[in-house]
Amino acid sequence: MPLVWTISNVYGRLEEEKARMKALIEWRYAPETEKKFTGLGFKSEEIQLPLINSRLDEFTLTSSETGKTFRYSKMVAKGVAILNKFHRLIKKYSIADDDHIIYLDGDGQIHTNHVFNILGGLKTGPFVAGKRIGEQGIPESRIKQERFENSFVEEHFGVQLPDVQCGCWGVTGKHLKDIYPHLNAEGFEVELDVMICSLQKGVTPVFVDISVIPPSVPSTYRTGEDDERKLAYLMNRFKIGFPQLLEKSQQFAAKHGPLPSEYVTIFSSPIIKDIKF
Amino acid sequence: MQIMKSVVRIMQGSPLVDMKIKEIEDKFGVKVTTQYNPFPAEQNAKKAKPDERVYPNLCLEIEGNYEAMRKFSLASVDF
Repeated sequence: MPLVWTISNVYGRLEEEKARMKALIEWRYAPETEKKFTGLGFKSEEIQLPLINSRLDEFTLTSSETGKTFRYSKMVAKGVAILNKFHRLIKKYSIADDDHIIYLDGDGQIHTNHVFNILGGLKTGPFVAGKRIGEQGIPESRIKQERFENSFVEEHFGVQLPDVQCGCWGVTGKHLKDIYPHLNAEGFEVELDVMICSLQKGVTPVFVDISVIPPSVPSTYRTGEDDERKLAYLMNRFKIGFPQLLEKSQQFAAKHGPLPSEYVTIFSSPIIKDIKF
Repeated sequence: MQIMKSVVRIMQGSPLVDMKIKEIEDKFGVKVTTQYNPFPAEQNAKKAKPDERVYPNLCLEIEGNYEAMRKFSLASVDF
């Protein structure tokens, strides 16, 4: 019996995590949710509880019940949190080849019911990627950057991809086990990572439309730092250096208009560290 | 019968705070297999101790049938 696993990240603050967890658990057991799952041919007991990736800021917490104080000193990056959970799914839960694993961002931009779109898509292929309708949800300042980042993947594999970085996607258990050893995303490049590793395995995604609403919590994307991390990831993956990156950006600008100047500064005056070839 | 598995983080304000793991198992019919603090990492998970009291932010890995899991998880977020 194939199982359905849903994973969602939560972003930073404890109260948001608490609200997200409550909402996801209540969604899971709502009668309409059960009806939709069964409508897709699943039994209630095949739908596992949503797994939540905590990404807490540094804080201390004293339990009023026990008086014990706990200190959390690290915020786990998005990619690390997801890959940790994948590790656990494979090693601890021994997911089956025909299980379904669905990831959903935790900032509230994508309604939980999109899980059903992804699940439907998984009936036709081992990897389903969300396609944000009309690039909804991407900040204006990042639209061209994302297109630029995505163009690396499209050019390398010779494919057209309507979206690469939507925070709602799904894979079968077999596909996850196939790509997991090759995934190495640390941050917001995790969607690029899943896409690239899938294409390397010869698996092209099935795309499903995803509508996006305004986020319920502020984004934790750090302009500059996370842009650098994504670029470093792409440079590593495709073995390209700063001169080629600059050349590519000029070619892209000639076709699609200029990229934001602060973004171009990252590689025209390179300060990216930790590039290892 | 299909056994469901999951991990639930016990948040501050949850009615399960301060209950012993054994009490949780008896009350909801779930099996608590593992417990861990979310930091430094869930890789540090250890076998659940029946006499240990649940405190805020402790993560519990649980198994059970559909009804037991439903009752347990909804109770855990009944803030």
